[in-house]
Amino acid sequence: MALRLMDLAALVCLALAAPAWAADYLRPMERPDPASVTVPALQAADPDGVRDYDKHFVFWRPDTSYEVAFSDLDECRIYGLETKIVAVPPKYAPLGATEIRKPETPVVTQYGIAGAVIGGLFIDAAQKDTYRQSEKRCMALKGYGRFGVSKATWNEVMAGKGAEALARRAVIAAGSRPATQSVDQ
Amino acid sequence: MRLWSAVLAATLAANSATGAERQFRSGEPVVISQDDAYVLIRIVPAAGRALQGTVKYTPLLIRELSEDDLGKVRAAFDKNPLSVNRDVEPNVVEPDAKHSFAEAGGTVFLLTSLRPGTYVLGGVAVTSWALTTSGLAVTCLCMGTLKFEARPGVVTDLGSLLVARDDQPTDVPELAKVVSGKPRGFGFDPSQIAIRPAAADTDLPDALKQIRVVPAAYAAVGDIPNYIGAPISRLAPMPGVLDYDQHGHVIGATAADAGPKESVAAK
Repeated sequence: MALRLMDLAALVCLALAAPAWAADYLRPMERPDPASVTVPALQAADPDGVRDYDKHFVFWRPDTSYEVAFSDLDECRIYGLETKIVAVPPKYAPLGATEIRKPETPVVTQYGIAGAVIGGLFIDAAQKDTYRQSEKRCMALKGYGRFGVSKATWNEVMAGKGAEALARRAVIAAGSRPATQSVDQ
Repeated sequence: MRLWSAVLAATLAANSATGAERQFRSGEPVVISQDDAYVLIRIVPAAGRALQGTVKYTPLLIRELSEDDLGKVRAAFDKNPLSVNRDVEPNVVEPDAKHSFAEAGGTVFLLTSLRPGTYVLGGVAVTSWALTTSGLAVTCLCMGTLKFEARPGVVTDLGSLLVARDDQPTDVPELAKVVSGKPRGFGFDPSQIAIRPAAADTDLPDALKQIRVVPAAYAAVGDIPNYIGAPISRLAPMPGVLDYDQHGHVIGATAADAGPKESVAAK
């Protein structure tokens, strides 16, 4: 059989998710002054929302400064963005280069507008899952625990773009131990 | 005749783009060239999920580069890391798990010739019956790994590649305390990886017993970017060589660590 099941699946994923390799380099973010960062009170979810703690959570680690937490979150952000939905072993790796390009989200055009919309939704969801999985593992390896919060709290923490949300999460990660439930237990 | 000569020349030229890399097949005589390096690694096929059948994991080895080579490879990587650029020698070597050199007691031996140099164990790929290609990259050992020197004219024994699922207990000694043993939302194939270095009493295929085989001299490597694009992880500790502090920083990393990120270097 020239082309088998997993090959076909991989090729479909690659066709949908092949990056353009022409995007910007991934670089660390500029760290905001923590005095300018406000964080919401961390509310626990109601009983129905607890099942979403694997999605709605904050990181925390004891004896950690805001600066270190921001750096750790930023490093894991970059790792998450570097991780592909399907990774074929490359021929080259610029070992020694300190930064690499960000894969672009492709636009699927070969199946028309409907294909572009459906494909875009699929890719977007898969990339978000991939990003979240990488970030969770990266932060876990750095010794951070996860604590569940309500969806409303999570939305407040994640509000804004780029460094703003990252700084909010870093303040929480470096603050007092959250009183909400640990996700890792 | 000229046509066939041209075809042959073109084929050789294409092959030369991959340098010294070649996989030895079962029963193939091993003649050591003093210009090439060789690596031997043991893998243990394992039961995969549902339709996967038996899966085989194999290491992804990244050769360190000179400044000149880095410039060329970076350009090729940025353009398309998956295709071969004939002007640039690839620097990622993947021993092909589907072509064993020997097998014994459930262990598969992979023997590969490659260009001499310093190699970083950058990640792991997996293959199975369902893939006709050499596999998919499933783990980037970005947050802590090992490197070794592959010297010309000798076979460098990398030891054994050990793999265990993170979400289940394992009886692999090197990984028993590494795996979480429960689902943690780390993705489809949340494997943990270890290297068991070769020792004096480690089995060798008969065909290599009269050949100079030296255990890899491993050194720790700190964080590297995710060139491979696979899910993030790190290699399990290796006593006396590689370990981690409680914040995940590599203990034992040398000054020659490959490409720390700016955010890491700033700490």
